Amino acid sequence: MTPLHHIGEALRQALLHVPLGFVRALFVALLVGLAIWVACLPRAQTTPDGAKPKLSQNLKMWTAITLGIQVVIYLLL
Amino acid sequence: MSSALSVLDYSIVAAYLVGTLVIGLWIGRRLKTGKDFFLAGRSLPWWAVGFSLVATDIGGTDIIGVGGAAYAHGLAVGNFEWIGCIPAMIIAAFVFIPIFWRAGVSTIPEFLERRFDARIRVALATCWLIFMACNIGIMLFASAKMMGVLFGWPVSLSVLVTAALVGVYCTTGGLAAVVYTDVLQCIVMIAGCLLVLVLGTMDLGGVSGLIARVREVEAARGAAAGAALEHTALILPVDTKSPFPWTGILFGLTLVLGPAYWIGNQAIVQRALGAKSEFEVKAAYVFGALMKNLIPIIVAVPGLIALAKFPELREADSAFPTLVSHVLPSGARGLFLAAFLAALMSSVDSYLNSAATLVTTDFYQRFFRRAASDESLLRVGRIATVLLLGWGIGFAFFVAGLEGTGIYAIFQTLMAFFQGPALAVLLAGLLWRRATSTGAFIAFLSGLVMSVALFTLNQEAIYRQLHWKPLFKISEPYLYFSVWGFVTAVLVLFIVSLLTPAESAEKLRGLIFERGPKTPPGAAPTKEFTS
Repeated sequence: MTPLHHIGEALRQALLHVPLGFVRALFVALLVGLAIWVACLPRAQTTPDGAKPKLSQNLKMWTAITLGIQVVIYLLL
Repeated sequence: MSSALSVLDYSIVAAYLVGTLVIGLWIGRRLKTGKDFFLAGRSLPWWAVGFSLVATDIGGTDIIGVGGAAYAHGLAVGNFEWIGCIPAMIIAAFVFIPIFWRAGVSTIPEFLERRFDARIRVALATCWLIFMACNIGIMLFASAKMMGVLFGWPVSLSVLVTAALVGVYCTTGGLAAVVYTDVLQCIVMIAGCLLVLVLGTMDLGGVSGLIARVREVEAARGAAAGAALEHTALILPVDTKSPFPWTGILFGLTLVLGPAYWIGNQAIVQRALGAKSEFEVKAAYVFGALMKNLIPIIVAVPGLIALAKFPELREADSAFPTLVSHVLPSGARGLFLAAFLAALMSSVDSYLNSAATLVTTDFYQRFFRRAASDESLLRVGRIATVLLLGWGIGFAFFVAGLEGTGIYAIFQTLMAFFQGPALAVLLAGLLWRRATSTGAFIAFLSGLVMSVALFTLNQEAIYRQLHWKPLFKISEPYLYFSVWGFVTAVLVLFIVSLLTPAESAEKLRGLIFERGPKTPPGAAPTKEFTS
């Protein structure tokens, strides 16, 4: 056993104790956090320049739908 | 397992191939300059780029490989398309790709020279070029082999015909032809795989029948091996026997390989650089991410259907072909073959075009003809495409002679070696003003050395010689190589950057992520494409 093995084994043992329910919550939180971040971006960064954007050109909405589907998938599977 | 194709099947395949060629040649007739060839004249709409992103990502071997992995290990392989892609695509859409687009570069290494210096440009361009050039051959051979198994076609004929078709529209039409043919190819690919999914699920009595049957098979296996039920779960424990423990998925895939792929892979990013506006770049990535939700369902779930129907297959990779030959009627097999060819061609054409762009921009123009005219760049781009295709065909036959040596797995691992360090350099370059050229170069090399060292020390012949135990307990631990390569590169970059002089503010203008008002296009110290 080398120091690399000891470090790896210590990490592995620590991570083995993390409950899978917590991991699932972490995955979902990552997706939700990302959706919130995009929702908070300035409007100019998520719509085309110039004329008033149509609803279909609102990237915040499409991002929310995309990440929403992901949240459902990671909650169910 | 070979399935005979009917006249109807061949007609569908022929219609697809003719459609691809017509689109490619139609687009190619307007091509006049190097900028048209490499960046489609920066005229691409979001929907075409979005389809192309997905089509490029999913190759013919991926369809077979993901189906096989789902058969062997379960739905956890879907993580590669879901959490491994979607968050990275969203972040790339709003943070990174717009910076590349505004800088007006043709390649990621070109951007890195502007941010750092020529050393990191050459290092990264060389890694990508070697990987892409060899991968063209591997994709051609692996897919030809699959067509041999599926339909009894000779391997050499499949390699040559596919290469010739892709070569014609890539050489004449450049990136625009690649992207617009990718649109057709993506639609055909999704339709073909969807057909397998629907007919396969119906054959098992619907979704509930599929789940019940998979659980039966799994329970029978689990009872024998004392293992947990894993086939329908996305999140697997650290001590799983599969290569997809949650730690690898989160730290290796979601935080390193996914972002490295969607932000730093030239074949992926290049089509976004050809988009007609910054908004179209963002919309393309978001559209691609939305489509990604569907991909594991049509590619991985058929692996579970195969498990339910044929639980005793000896080779997991035969799951998808076996399902196709048993479930699809005449005509539908032709659609699947077209889908398989579409997936193959959409990846080969993208790698070919991007490799030619690297050769022309990062080597020819950078080191031999800085003042090359736009017309001469077009000529060199076309010559490079033909030469790379010739190399790809040769490498495909070379790989054929190495069958059984695990050459495919080695090349997939090769990408994991340099993607972690490359991501560290890109992230630091885009987000940290204090990152320096020397820091980036040394960090990239250190990360690369770390990944290769871990891979080497984990080889059975090596660790037995040293009387060690294996460093990693899962099979194929390439996700972990990328994590440690990334961590090493970040640490080295941080330390060396602080020890070396900072870059000037003038040099960094327009090349760093700004949350406030964007630096307007042209404010970055850009050079004209033809300069």
